[in-house]
Amino acid sequence: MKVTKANITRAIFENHFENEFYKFIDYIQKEGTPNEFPIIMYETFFNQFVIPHPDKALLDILSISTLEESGFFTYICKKSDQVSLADQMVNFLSYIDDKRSAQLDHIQFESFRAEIETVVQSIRHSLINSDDYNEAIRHFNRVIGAIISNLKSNIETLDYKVSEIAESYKANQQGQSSITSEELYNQALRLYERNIQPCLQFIDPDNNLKQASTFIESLHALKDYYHENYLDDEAVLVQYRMTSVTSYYKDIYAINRHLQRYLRSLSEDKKAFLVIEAVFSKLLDSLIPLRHGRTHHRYLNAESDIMQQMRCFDGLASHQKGYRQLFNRDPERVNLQVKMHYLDIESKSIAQKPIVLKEINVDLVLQNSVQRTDGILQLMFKMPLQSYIKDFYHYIHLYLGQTLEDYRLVDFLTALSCLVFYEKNLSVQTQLPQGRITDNEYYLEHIILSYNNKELEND
Amino acid sequence: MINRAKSREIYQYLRNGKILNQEMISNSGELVNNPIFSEIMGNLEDYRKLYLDIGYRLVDTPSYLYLIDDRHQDPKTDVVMRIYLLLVIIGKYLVIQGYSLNKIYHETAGLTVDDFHNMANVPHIIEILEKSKMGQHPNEISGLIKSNLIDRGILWEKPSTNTYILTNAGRAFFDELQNNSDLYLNTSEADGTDEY
Repeated sequence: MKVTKANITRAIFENHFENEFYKFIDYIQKEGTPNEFPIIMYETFFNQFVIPHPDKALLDILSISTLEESGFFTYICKKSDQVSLADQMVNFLSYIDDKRSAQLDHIQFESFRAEIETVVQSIRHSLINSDDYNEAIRHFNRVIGAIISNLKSNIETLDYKVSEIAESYKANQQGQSSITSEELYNQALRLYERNIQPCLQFIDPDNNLKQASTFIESLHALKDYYHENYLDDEAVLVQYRMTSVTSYYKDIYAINRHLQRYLRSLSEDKKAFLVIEAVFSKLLDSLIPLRHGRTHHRYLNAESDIMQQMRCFDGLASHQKGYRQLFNRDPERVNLQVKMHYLDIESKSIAQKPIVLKEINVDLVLQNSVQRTDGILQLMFKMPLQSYIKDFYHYIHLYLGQTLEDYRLVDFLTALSCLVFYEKNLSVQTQLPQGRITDNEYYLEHIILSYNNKELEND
Repeated sequence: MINRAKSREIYQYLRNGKILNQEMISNSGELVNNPIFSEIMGNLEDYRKLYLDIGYRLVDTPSYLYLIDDRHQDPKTDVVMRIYLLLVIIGKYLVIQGYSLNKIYHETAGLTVDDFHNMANVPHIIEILEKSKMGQHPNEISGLIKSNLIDRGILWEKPSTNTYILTNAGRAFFDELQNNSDLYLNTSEADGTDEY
């Protein structure tokens, strides 16, 4: 049984292979080939989907040789290992899936415009109702039909393409896109320049060309021609055709407005990135003189060019670290700064640090040298006495403090070894320590010991 | 009239070299007005005078404010230089990655800790860190960003997602770069915003 294109098409869609065929369309559109794509792509599809498929009839229906025989593939180029898909199938698959429709570009719109201009001239220069006239009218209707059909499909495709850019843009804003801002900008710009702008110009009633008639001007000329020849019905029909085309203006205008939003944002990003690149480059430039500098010029500092134009946080510092910063100054100004710092310090009263005394340990007596110990003992023998001394410890403490240079509490402890000479005149007044003597470092709490010597009463 | 309790809170905050932003980020990651900022802006003259009397100057912009030492003559402090350089490094990282600026502007986006680690791949990063006395190892960038940008109110951490976006002050830095674009770019290069 001969396999027809209908059998092949049915096999593709009934078994849901269309998505695989769309990949061939994608390749053709991306590479701009004459409907060619690598045969290896088809072989991969065949091996992955057709061979394992339970319906073994598909092995024959979708084999490369069958596709070539049926005209589904117009040719196979052994030299380049490419296969060419029939133009009708390319159009059919593109037609079925909006997003695969190739958006019209400037050349195609120019082709439509030129064709309409030519056919309108043919109509105007032919005798009405002559064979030439009727042939021209039929051609005019075909071209208008093709234009409307292509425009509608084109607008659906452009809408899809702009939505794709919108999705990529959103992903890019989140930093989750594989495509960079720059690439996305270029993609959006290309879509605008190559596809949207030509479409807008084609149906914009205000668009003018210097040496040719626009599509709208050609239709106006034809309408005027019919009015001049009192063919009002034909004129109305031309107006109707024109409206059918221009009615798409608001759709393409809305798509354009949608795209412009993203183009503007991407353009701002692009400008921002150019500035950042320039700043970074300037930063690298400012590092060059530091590479071989001596200590003074080894680091970036306030004089570095890169810092001059950045001002928004100037002066910011951690103020609680102010004193440390005062000493971290420019050597050339340091004298003045130290002087000011000195005056600053001098003007402030210095808070006394509270002294915490420690209880004296008797072992500290050993710190005193032999000479100092001798000196203390000699002083003790010379200590003047009174007949009654209420607190003998405190008395000794005051005496040594007045007579001994650099008196410390440890000297008092040393002096206590002489106490034995006064023993018979001493009496304990308190069992618990009630007296306290101190020097700058230690304290000693002591009981009250009174000295009483009646023999001295008469002295 | 100055609120005394808020005034103490503000002073403690500002004297640590932090920037007070017009907005703050809520626990749910949304931007909300900062009541402390409103307190100052509502009594701006009083606060200006208060700080002037104790040797500081309040730098107030419509979207952020901070304190500078009135005696300090050099505006490019080490702190400031580190902040500028780290922000330039972040900008360069966005360019390299092809991210939009909205990655650091918009509350639904944000830099991640992985992004901070990946900044170690920014060209010449070691030399930049060394020459700005910020260390010699690019792995230190996370710590530098934390102490110089996050702690000082230039980057916000979004609590729910652990991502980081620019505060009002952080945005001001990139806005300033844009405003000065003519100084950095030739006019022809800067003119990339044609209307279509």
